Amino acid sequence: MSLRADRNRSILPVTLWFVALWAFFQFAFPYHLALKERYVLFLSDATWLSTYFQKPAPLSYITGDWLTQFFLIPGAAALLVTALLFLFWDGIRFILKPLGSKHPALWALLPTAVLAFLILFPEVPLAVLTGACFFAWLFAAAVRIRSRALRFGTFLLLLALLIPTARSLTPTARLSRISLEREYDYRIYFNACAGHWDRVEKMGLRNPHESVVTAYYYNLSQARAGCLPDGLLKAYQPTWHGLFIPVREGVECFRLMASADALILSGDYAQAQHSAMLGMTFSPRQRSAAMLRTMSDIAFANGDYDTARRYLKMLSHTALYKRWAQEGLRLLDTEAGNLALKNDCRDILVQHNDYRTSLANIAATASKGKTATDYLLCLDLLDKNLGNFREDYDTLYKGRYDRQTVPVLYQEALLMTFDENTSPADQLTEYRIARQTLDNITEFLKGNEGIFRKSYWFYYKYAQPAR
Amino acid sequence: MRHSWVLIGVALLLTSCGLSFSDTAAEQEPMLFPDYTDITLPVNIAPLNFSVEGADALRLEIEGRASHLFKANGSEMRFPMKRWKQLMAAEAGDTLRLSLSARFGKETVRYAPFHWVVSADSIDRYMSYRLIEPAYEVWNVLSVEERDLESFRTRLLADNTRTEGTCINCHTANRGGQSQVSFMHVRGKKGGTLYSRDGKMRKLNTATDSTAGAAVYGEISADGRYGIFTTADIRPILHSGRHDKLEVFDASSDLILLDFEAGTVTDSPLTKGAAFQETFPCWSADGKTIYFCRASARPQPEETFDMHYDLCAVGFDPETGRMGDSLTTVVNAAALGKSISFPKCSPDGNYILMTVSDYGTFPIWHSETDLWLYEIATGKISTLETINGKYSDSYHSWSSDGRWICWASKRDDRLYGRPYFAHVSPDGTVSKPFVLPQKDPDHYLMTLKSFNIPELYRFPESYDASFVRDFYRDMKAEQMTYRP
Repeated sequence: MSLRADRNRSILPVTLWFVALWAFFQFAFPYHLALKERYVLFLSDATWLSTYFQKPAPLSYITGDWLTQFFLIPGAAALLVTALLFLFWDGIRFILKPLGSKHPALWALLPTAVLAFLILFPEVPLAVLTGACFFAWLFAAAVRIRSRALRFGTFLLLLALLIPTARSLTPTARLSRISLEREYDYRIYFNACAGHWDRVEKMGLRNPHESVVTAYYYNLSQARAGCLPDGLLKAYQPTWHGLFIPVREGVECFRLMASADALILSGDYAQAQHSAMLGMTFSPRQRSAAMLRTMSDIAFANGDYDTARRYLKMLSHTALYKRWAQEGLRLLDTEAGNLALKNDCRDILVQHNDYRTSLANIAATASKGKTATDYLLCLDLLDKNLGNFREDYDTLYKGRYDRQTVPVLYQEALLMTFDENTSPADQLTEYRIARQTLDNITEFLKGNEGIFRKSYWFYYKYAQPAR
Repeated sequence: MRHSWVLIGVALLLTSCGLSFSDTAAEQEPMLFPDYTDITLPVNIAPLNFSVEGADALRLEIEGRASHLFKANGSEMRFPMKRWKQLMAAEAGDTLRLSLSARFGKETVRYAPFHWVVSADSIDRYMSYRLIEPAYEVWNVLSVEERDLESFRTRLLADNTRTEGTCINCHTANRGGQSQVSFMHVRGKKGGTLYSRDGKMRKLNTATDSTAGAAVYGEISADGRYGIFTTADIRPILHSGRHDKLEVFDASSDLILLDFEAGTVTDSPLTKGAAFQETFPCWSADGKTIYFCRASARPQPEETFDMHYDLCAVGFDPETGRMGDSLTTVVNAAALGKSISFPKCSPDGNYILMTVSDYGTFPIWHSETDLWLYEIATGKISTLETINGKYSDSYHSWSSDGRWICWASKRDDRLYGRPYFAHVSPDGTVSKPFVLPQKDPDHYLMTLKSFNIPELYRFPESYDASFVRDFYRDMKAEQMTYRP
């Protein structure tokens, strides 16, 4: 059977297969694919491109990375991956036919299925697919060489090329799990990156998998709106782990990258830079356009304009961050002297992941410390440390931020810290506790806990340590 | 008539090639990257390729004993190796006047002339450095490379992707010695201090039950027999402020002396114990004095900002392998409100080049960190304003003849270290520094790796990364023994 006849016979199953693949990528796991963009930095610059030639498989990586940067565009990832898989399938089909396969078009679907599965891992670069396409077509061309000796020689040559290429394309980073929970996490992450905070809030309220990352971005959405304490217990809280993502050895790269976001918002630029730098260092190939952008932002906040310029110049050679980078460079050229520093807290030494010390310092010394103060108080509360909460409230919140209504969460927690030896009325007045809160705790203590599931009292009594 | 058409054709061809330059009156300061204006360069250095951002063509006239003309189509001036070597050989010891013009579209800019002093003092041919992301206290992928300074050739000496991801650091040679001896630490389960001498490598476990830990920062004596090191218990911590990023302090640190021939580790009551912290030891040129940094121990990190390391010295007897019994403070840095790190003696024995910061013992992240030159005979300190940049200048090394220094400078962007060189005259005058030339002049703008611990030496190392991988994997470390 000729290739054309085989293709005609197989056109329906093959079409169905690729449509199904596209739908799978587009609707089931689009954000697993999109995450690949976070692990890529492609600069249209001769110097940068030359670095690809220092390692095997340069063309696979160049085409793969170039295409990956467009994964930020909605729908592009599924389309591009499906198209590459189709190209690969076509090449394999051409190889199988001369080898005597009866249904090369159908048999060629098998390796596409393997690649389709592999490519779902965010750490597997798209270069795996582009490289597979290159080799499929090179072998397809080689099997058509008429001279047996030449064909054999070409095969040997291709095999000699294939081995180092395959080794080079094998990801060295630990592969993340593929799951719907992760997909939800990646989706909320990308929504946050795109500034769709209303969607982030809705997703966070649902949090169907009780995910730490989803809780983290939900809290971020609340903090951005200035209502972290108000929204905190409306959604699932994996104790304090929903506030910050600790940076530890072995933490996957995605989490390292995400961990910078809450730190930036709370004004902890030192730890944020640490996170972003580690995010890039531990990305599969130590390159990330997204982290360069984050580090530029941090450099601006710190007034490190030389650092910012360096990153912005690199980003000005990218396809999708170019305009943003050029705007940043324009700002540096024209208004560097007038840019406001966001990081103006006192310099102290802090262990990484020591959020309490760092937040307390920012809350006490930075000119805009409200978010850090809320994060600190919520950290105390989610950690069920009422002693710390009361101390931090008295020193950092009281008298500064309690002139308007005190958030109900804080009121509920404050009631639990009241001194038995001091007049309750005085304390209620001093801490601006609302009548309603007082009534609620009375009801709660009577045993009507069910109606106060979103209260701090309920959390304090029943919350378990996070998974 | 036919000739006219030919001439017009040639003119058009030249224009289209971007190599024609029309005269312009204005002279601007040259804007080349890297900044290679008004520098002193060694006669044997690789071509100082540079670029002028946005230029369509470049023209460089060099006037010395003879005239030399270089043209480039595009923004990069890449000197042909052969012509560069001829230029350097012909102009050794001379001062060159360079006139650069750049064409931007139809406009030509002629820059103000600048100078190159071609020093007849050759620089050591090889340099090693570590390439690492400036990711504070952790690493993922790092490598140690050897660069031939007379060309652009590099060679991988070690690569942690081949040694189970371990940290590899401190490749250091015995500058000034007759034959080359070097060491490099490879950490990890199968690691040790790699000691290379006469083409033979040994793997040494320098930690003993009687000392505080394995060798960290240190130097090898010129004859290669002894090594003086610190056993620092290094702790990283972050700054919350906007200027500095990372602080590293030693929870404890003592000095240890290694005798590579006898396989022993020894120490001295003067340089161990909890009362003081001693670090960054180095040998004097004659090998009879050990210089090091010392500070009174304080609780850290609470009082890290108050840690000021002085430069101290203790005698050493190469015959007995023993340190002396008295200690002198050479520079009282605490009195200056400063802290000294990385002292390195010049091979001629006249100077100590040291890193000076406001406090602490890890200055590479301190933006105020500068190099200072201490004249041993007079005690005079030069703050080397000519060579210090806006941010950290540290991790320096002398050439074997003491006429060149190289160091890692973060002057360009605060984060990424690059190797800079400067010439040191016998009277201690130091020339304007220049960055290690690269074949691609934009290399530094497009790399995310920091150049760390640049080290000059004369002969190529006898090993490479594959050898280090096998040695790491297969060779058991020799256990050094403690000699009281």
